[in-house]
Amino acid sequence: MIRIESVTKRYPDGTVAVDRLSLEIPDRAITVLVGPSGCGKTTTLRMINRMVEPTEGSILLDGTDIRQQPVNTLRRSMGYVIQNAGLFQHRTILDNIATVPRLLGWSKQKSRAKAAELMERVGLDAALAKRYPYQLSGGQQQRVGVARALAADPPVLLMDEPFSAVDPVVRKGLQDELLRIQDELGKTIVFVTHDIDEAIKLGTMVAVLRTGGRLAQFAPPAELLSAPADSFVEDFLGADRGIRRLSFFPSAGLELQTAPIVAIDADAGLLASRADAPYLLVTDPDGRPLGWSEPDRLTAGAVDRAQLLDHGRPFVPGKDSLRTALDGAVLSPTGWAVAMDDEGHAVGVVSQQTIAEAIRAAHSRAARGRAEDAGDAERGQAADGTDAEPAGAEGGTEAAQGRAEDGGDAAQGRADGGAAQGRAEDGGGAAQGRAEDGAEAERGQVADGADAEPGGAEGGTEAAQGRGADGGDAAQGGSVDGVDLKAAQ
Amino acid sequence: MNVLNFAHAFFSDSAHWHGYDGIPTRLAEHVRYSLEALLFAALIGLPVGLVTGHYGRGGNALALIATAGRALPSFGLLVLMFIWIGFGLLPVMIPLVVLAVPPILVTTYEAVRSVDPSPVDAARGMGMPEARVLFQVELPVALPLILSGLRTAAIQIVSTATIAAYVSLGGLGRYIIDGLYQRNYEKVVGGATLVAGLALTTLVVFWAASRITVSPGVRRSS
Repeated sequence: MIRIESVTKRYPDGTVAVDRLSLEIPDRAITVLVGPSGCGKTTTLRMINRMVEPTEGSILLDGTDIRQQPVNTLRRSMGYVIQNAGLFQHRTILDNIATVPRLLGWSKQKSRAKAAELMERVGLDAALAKRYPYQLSGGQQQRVGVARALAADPPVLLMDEPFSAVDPVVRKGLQDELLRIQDELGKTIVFVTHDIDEAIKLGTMVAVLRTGGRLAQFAPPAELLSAPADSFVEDFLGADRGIRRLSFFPSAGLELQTAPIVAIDADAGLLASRADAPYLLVTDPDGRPLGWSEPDRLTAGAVDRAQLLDHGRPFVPGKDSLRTALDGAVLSPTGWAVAMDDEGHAVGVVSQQTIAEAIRAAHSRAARGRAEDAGDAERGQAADGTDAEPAGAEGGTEAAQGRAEDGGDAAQGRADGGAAQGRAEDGGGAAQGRAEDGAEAERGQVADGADAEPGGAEGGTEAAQGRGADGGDAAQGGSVDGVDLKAAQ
Repeated sequence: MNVLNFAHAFFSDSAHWHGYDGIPTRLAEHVRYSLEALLFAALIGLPVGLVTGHYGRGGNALALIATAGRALPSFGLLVLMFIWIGFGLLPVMIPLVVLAVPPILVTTYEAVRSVDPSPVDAARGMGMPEARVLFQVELPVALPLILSGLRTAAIQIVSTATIAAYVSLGGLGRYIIDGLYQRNYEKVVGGATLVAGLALTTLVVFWAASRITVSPGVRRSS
């Protein structure tokens, strides 16, 4: 374990980069240091391998001060990955990766064999071995950087904004790859980023640092989202913290309905028996979703695929989170999300209401878990209170919230925001408001006219909040949730 | 063309191809002076340039030395050294080395200093000793520029080494100076052609050296 004990870094000109920082970095887990620029996160990382020497305090590695061993021995026991990879352009990919084994005195042959093994581990084609860095894309170069850091099998891996110079798609691939590699290798990883989403995705523990090098909060990502320590952390987490927290709730428990699913070749009798559903999900004969339709628009044997409404992005129950499920429901013009199995067959549909109930259940489970952890129910409920309250407040970005604040209607709230656009769709009057300012669709969508009240509310983050909004008072949303949780306990 | 006729007359005269004043002898002398001067200049310029470039300090002092070195007229220095030291190779070597050190020193310093800092940071972070960082990370990447400094120095030496003849030494300058005294323009043109040819050969040698020593990864990416 790496223990950072009251470490301060002060530069000769008086600038304090890190201020009395103490952290316990757990073994075999990813600890992310995150914060705005100037918060000392990179300095902290570089103090672990003594690229920067602390002015005060000490850093212990497995109980021993890191200054006890020669600096290069220390550094060779820690993989080091930096932004832009920092590859040696005069060496082939294979020889780049073999650098640390060579420094440790391994034979050339053994080092290269190890390097080849690492290339495979990080998902690099063996054909790239003899290439030079300039022949690789940014993403590939960063993989080489990771392979090079892992080559001598160090127990610790230090990563300094390794993925921030690549485009978002490649970055996501690299992040997934890192999580996969970490599952296999179980390294103690310290990861620096300024991207809070990256921190939440990768971190087992996340340390949020504030400008001036002080620790604002050190917690697992789910806790960070549910209970930010102060307004700085809350601001840094961003507006849709409630939605992002849903990433930590599994979709496995969602109650799926199969009745509204009909195959495109269904006979008239079957269609008639389902006519009471507001919408039916039409699948191809194999069960793959095609789109939604109102029952009376369907004629047995003559379904026009072009007439079907888009079914949005399906989710895989048990694999995807509630966030994905909610996203699917919000994107769907009917307000129902489509669940499918790994092969892409529709296995059920779920309404926004059901998802909202699942979210509330998950919240109360999480709150109970926290209360039990603390061994103090009182404290647990207090924590829950802080949980519910900001969740309501955060809805400020939501249509439902807008309504609550205005005491008027959703459309009004959004119009005030100046970012809403009403669009009539499908003749049936399914009005869709879309935030023009590029915000996520899940955030900016209001349900269709018929359904505007509850739909709008659920289109927001949470049902509790939605109810509060209906009551015309967002704060009440928090208390409704609170009452609910007390009841649940 | 007179010049071509002179050159033709000079090179077709078989008397010019052997003996102590023959082309092979003079060429060998000239190459020897040039190589020795380049060697001394490199022994001074390369280490100083590498170290200052590596630590990124002393750039201003270097610029001063380089400007001073360039400002000194080689011929004047030669005469001065000749009066001071007397006959011998040393009074010739000093102006040649003074001429060659600035380009070597300044380009080497610049070449090492301008190496991308991120591989250097990565190398240090991986636990590479400082000397290896310089020789295995910075030097290979800085090599093309360092070679260009050496090349500039070498070409200046080759063309300037003709002044050795002023102080009764050999080299291709002999033909030019003797030819001028004797009003033998065949000799002057022949000598000048040989110096030019040697300078071009130097270019080719450096081009070949950079093909061999610079990694394809550096050559292609820079």
